[in-house]
Amino acid sequence: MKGVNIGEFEELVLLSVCILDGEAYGVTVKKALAEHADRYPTLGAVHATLYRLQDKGYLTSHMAGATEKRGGRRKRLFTVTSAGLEVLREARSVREKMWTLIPRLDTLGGAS
Amino acid sequence: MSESQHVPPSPRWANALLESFCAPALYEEIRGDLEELYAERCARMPVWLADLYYIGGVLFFMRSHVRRSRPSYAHARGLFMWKNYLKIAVRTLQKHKGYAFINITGLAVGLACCLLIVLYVQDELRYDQHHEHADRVYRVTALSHQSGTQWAPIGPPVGPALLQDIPEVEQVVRIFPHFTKILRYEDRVFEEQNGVYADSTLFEVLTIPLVQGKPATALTAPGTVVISETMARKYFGDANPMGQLIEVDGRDPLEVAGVMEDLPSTTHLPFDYAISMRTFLGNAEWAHSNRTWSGIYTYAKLRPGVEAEAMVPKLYDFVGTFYEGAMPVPPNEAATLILQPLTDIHLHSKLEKEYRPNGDMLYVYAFSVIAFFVLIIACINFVNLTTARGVQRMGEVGLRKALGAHRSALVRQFLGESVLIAALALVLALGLMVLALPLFNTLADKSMTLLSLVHPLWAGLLLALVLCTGVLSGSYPAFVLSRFRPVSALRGGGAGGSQSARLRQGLVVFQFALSIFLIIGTGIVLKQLDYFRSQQLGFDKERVVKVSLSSSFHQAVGNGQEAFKQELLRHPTIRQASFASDVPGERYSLEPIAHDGAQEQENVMMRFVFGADHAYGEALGLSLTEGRFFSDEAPADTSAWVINEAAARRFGLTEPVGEILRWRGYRGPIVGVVEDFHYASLHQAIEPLVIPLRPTGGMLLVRLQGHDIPSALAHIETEVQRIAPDQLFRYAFVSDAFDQLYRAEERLSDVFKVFAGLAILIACLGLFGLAAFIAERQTKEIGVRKVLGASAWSIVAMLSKNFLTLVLIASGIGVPLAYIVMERWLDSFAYRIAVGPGIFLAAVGLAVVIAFITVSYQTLRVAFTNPVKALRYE
Repeated sequence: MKGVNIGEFEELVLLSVCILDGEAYGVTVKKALAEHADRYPTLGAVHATLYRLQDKGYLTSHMAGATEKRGGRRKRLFTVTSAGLEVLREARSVREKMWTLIPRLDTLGGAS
Repeated sequence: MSESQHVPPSPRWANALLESFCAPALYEEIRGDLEELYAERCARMPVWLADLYYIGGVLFFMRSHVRRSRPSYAHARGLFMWKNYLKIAVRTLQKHKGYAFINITGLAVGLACCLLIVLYVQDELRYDQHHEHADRVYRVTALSHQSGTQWAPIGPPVGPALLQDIPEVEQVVRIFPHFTKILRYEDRVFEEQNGVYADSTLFEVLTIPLVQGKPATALTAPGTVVISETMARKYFGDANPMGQLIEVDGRDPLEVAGVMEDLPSTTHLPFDYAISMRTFLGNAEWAHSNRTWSGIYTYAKLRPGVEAEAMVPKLYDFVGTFYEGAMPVPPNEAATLILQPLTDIHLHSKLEKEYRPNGDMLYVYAFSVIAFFVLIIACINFVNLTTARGVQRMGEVGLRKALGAHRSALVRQFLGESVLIAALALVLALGLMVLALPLFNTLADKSMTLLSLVHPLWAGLLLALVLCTGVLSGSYPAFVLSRFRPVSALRGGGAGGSQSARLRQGLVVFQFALSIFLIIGTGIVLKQLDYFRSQQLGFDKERVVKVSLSSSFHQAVGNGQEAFKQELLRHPTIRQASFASDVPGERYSLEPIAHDGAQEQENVMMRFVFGADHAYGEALGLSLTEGRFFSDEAPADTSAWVINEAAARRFGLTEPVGEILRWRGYRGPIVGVVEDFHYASLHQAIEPLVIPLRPTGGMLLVRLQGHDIPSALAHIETEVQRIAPDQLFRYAFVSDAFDQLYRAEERLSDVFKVFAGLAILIACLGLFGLAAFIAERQTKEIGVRKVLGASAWSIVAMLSKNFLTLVLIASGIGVPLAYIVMERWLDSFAYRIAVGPGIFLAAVGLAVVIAFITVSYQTLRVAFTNPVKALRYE
């Protein structure tokens, strides 16, 4: 798919949603990013990205699960779409291909 | 997570904030997420920290524009729509040039008025603010308990004593007016009236920059003077005035020791030159010992941080010790020294013997109120006309709505239009201001320039004014017009029939009420002025001339005064001449007079004629009620008195002639009583007046008879110059001087006239627009009536009747209001006119006529149109 790009942070968020497998919403994605990627965005940044990804068609969402902890408010759960999976795979394959193209990988970056 | 753990509530205002800008659809999940995190945080960190995170989270959400409210509507960003709005606004204005003109002009006039008044108020409030230490400088005044009068000037030794005895006083300066003198340098001779004597400390207390000369030493030596730049140019041209000698009254040359910048007009103490106080007081014994004379203006600069209230007990003690032995009763019972802040003097001080008549805070308030009202009327007009016309734009409104414009967009469009018109009006107003400023300066007796407008504060004010006016005036039409349903709007349905018509009529009524009020006010002020001028004053004011004579004349005439008078009397038009010191129209001094034989030996303060010779009574044309005037045949008359009826009453004398009165060393019998005459303005009742025989008068009063006035004046001039060849011949008619007293009222009447005119103009503009609108709305109805046989005139009558009722209602408001206010104003005069119904009827009649004329153009036009055209009107 040409001309469809995804930012680095968007990619991480998208991956987190995949990892969370149906349990993904604002708070959990934020925690997942902290745990797996050592990134600490604000809740607002996470939400913004989730909505953006949804607008791009990589995620869908539905409302579910009010708990007492949230004062009776439901949460919006995101799941990845097939388009989303596609763009992730594409990104991954592009990176892997470029890695293999690097000559003399072990001598790169000076003597360690 | 433990369910039983109590979670504190999340910060309330953050939630309110979130709710206000978050899209409703997304609010629930966002808030829920925030709450969840908050609960977790509260478990592992202090609550306040969790609160901070929470608030931070909410604030972050504000940044991301996905959260904007109504995110599903895509608003046109940027300036796109405004270009269209501007185009439409300009086209609308062009299409209805008449209305646009009326609207803009009306608003411009209102703005110009308002701004001019603001300029005036700002000027008045600025008096004496330019002095560097203005907040620490006070004028020392004396309140006499016995008479209740507070004197602006005090005794000469008081100032230096204050400086010495009270440590809180940092510096003191004394100022004494240098009365009218003739100044001469080589061949340039002028009569100067604006000079003062001043201590050398003048420049330490007041801020008067010197162009030449040293402030510390300029006025230390006797015989030195500091002159203003204008004066320097007047006498010396371009030459250097320093060190030159100016002659005063033919003697006493003064050396120019400094040139000061011209004093700004905003000072209560204007002067053109200052002579060193040493010249005046020198080593005069009385200067150091005369503690109770109220003669010298004394200003004290207090040390930084000293409050005026702190001075009160100090002054009390000072009075106790300083005036010991100078008063018949313990000093603190007799008098109190009161400090007046320098900056308060111009607007709030009305003491006895002020340097110059001051302004009045009352006028500042009055003008401010007028400015406010004028602006309100103009804005009301604007609202009226815009709403009226706006109805015709319903088609446009409907179309825009049908194409998807939001109410907010329409509101913005109309507001933008009114702000644009306000801006145009402002430009026009500025132009009007420039044109009107000279007239305004004459009216307000000031010399203001528009330079003060260049200040950034003003630019900001103007901008705010434009925005406020535009928004305020435009918001009613904007909200009303954007409200209606597009479908009915496209069909051309009228805007809210009765209630908006009511409102509009109410506005017109208000404008006319105000106009009527101003018309009545003008009328009454004019009548009162006329009354002042025409009143019989009890002396022959029309025919008395006062001639000012300088000391060079008196030196030259020596004891030949009687002979000189005889020479004058040889002219047939001259009936009598008298040397006197006080003439009606000028301030008469207050002096303590005692009556021998009164139960308590107390001095009564009475108006006193310092110098009067035998002929004083006849020169003025006073009428006697008892006894006689001074006569040079009666030898005992050397210390006689003539008093007025008020004085006789004050002393409780039933048979005044023969009673003995005392003043300082002068003691003698009353020989005559004159009828009360108005020697002061008709503002006040006639106060007791005593006239001793002291032929020391410095001016000449001449009473004329017959018609040949110019030759009489020429004769006087010849005689005067025969005795003192270089005496400048200056004369004035007493009636003119008297009229000067009413300058305040004259100015008030001018102001009223101008504002009445303006109010009427603006009200007419409003009425004109309103009439046009209503007439047009009723076109169809009129067409039908005409077809059914109504004559054109009955149509006119029908249309006019509505407006006339409006005017009558306005009268019902304006007339009582005017009555109340003007009665109060008239009450402040001891002598005033009685207000009859005539003036009220005249004002109402005038208003009716004006309204009729204004409305008639529209009504006639409509009444005479072809009914066929009217019926086809859609």
